[in-house]
Amino acid sequence: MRLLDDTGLPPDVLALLGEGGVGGSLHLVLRNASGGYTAIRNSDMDLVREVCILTAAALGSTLSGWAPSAIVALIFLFVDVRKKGIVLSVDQGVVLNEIRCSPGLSAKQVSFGVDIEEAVVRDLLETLLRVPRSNGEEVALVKKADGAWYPLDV
Amino acid sequence: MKQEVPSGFYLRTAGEVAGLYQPGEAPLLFESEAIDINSTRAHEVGHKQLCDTSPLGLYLKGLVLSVRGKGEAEAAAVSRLVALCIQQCWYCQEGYATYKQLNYLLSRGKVADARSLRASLLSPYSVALANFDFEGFGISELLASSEGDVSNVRVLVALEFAAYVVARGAMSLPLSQILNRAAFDDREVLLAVRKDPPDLRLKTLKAHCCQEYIESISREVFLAFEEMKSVKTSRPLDDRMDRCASALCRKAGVRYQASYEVDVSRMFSTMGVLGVEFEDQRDMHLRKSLAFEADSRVVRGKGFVTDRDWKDSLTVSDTARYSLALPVEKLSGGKSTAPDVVCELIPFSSADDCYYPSFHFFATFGLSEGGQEVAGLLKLGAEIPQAIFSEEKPSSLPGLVPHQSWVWIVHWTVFVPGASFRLLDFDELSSFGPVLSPVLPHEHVHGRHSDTYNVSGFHALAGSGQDGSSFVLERAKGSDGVALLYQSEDDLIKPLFVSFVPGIDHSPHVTKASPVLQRVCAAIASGAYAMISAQSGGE
Repeated sequence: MRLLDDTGLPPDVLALLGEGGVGGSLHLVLRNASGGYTAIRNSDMDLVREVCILTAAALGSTLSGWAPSAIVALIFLFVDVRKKGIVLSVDQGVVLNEIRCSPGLSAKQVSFGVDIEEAVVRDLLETLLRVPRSNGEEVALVKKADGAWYPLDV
Repeated sequence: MKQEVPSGFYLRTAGEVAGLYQPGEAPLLFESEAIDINSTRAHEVGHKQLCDTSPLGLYLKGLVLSVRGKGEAEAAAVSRLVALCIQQCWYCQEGYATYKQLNYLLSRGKVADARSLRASLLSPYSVALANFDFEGFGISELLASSEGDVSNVRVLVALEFAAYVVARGAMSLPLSQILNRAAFDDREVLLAVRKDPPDLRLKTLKAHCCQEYIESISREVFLAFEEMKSVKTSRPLDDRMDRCASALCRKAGVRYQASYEVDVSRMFSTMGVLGVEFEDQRDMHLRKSLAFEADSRVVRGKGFVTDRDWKDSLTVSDTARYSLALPVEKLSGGKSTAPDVVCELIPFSSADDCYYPSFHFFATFGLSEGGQEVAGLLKLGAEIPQAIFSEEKPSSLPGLVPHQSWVWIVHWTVFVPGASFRLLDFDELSSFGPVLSPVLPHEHVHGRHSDTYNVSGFHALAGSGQDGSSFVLERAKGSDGVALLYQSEDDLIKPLFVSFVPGIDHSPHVTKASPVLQRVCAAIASGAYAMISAQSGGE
């Protein structure tokens, strides 16, 4: 917990994130309210901190009005893709999160859901069709079919 | 494929799940050494109250209830939707439920237990609880209170309702415009909840909870209690709490909508909820209302797990209830407790006196799946409203399923059949077993037996043409009660059932039976065996 205290995240988000000290090489367990949890190894701590700082920076803008648990779910998403060598912006993450929560949405529906202009959402979705990994390989995080967007596992 | 975990409000401690409330279902309580189970009940009832008295809560109930009878994919989609809604109100719900739990202990003078509970709370619950740390009535001050102080109990009652009003206000965002339509899209509801999340509403409302507010709630509560003495229903209390929540929201600039503005019948119908009857709890007689409020199921065990052997060989009576069962190897890398096992005896039909066993496995587990872990548990089927328990362990099962404890549950309709002596017998026994050897029905039992073998004092059912290779019978050691026969034909195992009636001569009097069954009956009558294995050449 203390490892993330200075990331700028509020206490209610931090409380949901950290369960700490699992033993062995595990350093931290991230847990969300609905029961999922991810063991974070020491080697991934920098990554988690980075994600938390990135998320905290958007609390006053994109993530304004988000419930703490929903923010934690987004952090999970960021950690998940980062561990696969993919770096997303907060807006990209928010849009991807929306598609993952409700597969098959149109760009307009996503726009309404995330409070980002439709044109911007379209651009963000397009970027998710070809996202670079840290090794240079490009992967698709979403696919489009008949105007509807679906998440892809990578 | 990622394992779906039932969506609901979990009460977690550092090492286990102590309770679960799924809107629309009775709270599920898991026995725990660390937590007073009655306080867990209070916690879960807190969730139930908020779901019963808010538009969002009613919608969540509709979602959960709509899953009944649907396919796995549809059920999984609904479960995810419930989880997304819960994301928006987790702090509100858990904060109030935990406050109610703490308050329960304090109001019963269990101050040490309350202190211990607070100290052991996981950080999210602790932070959630802090939302109800009222000015002038801090939780720490309450925990420092002396035991058995009556005036303090009055304060505790007032505080609990103050917390309830805040939480109810937070949960009561306006949704009726959507929910009362002839058709609505779940996503529309989800977006409305996300735009006005109860967890953020809670913070706003909390800021307006001054000492004066607590005192006004206190007055309202005790006035309502006076009114309830004459009307014998909880309506006066609900009306006053509704007005208080509405007033608090108005003061805080937060939109409020009472739950009764949602046309529940219409909404449930729209959502495809079938076979659910409604009764307004506000107009129930207080006794019935309190019973309804306290309705819950206690499970000795935590979560569930089955291993592959069991899953392959044990066919359960209702596969839907076991849809979450996992092969044990999938749990590798995760954390799981040894499973507890519950055996439920279910009658074939209301006309029969024979039962088939249904096994339930419970354990907390963490499923490791590509670095992601999911914690989960199995909800006990809703078909076990009454139970008789025995803590004795059946002798043979431990070798197959490592477990911490066994519980026998007798389905309550056992008491209904025409053979009325069973009611008395089971009632008098109050516990029985260890009874069964490993029960390995290969196929669904029901409907597979056409012949009845009547034996003095008991009867058994057997399938027609079941003159297979062997019988194995294990009788309840040292007692009568219930025993089970099963017959193995090659790999096909078919269970047969024999019920023993205490105090009645079990001398064999088989009116129609295979030689094997006759031999078994004779052995039963002699009581000289623990286990029989016999070969049969057929009838």
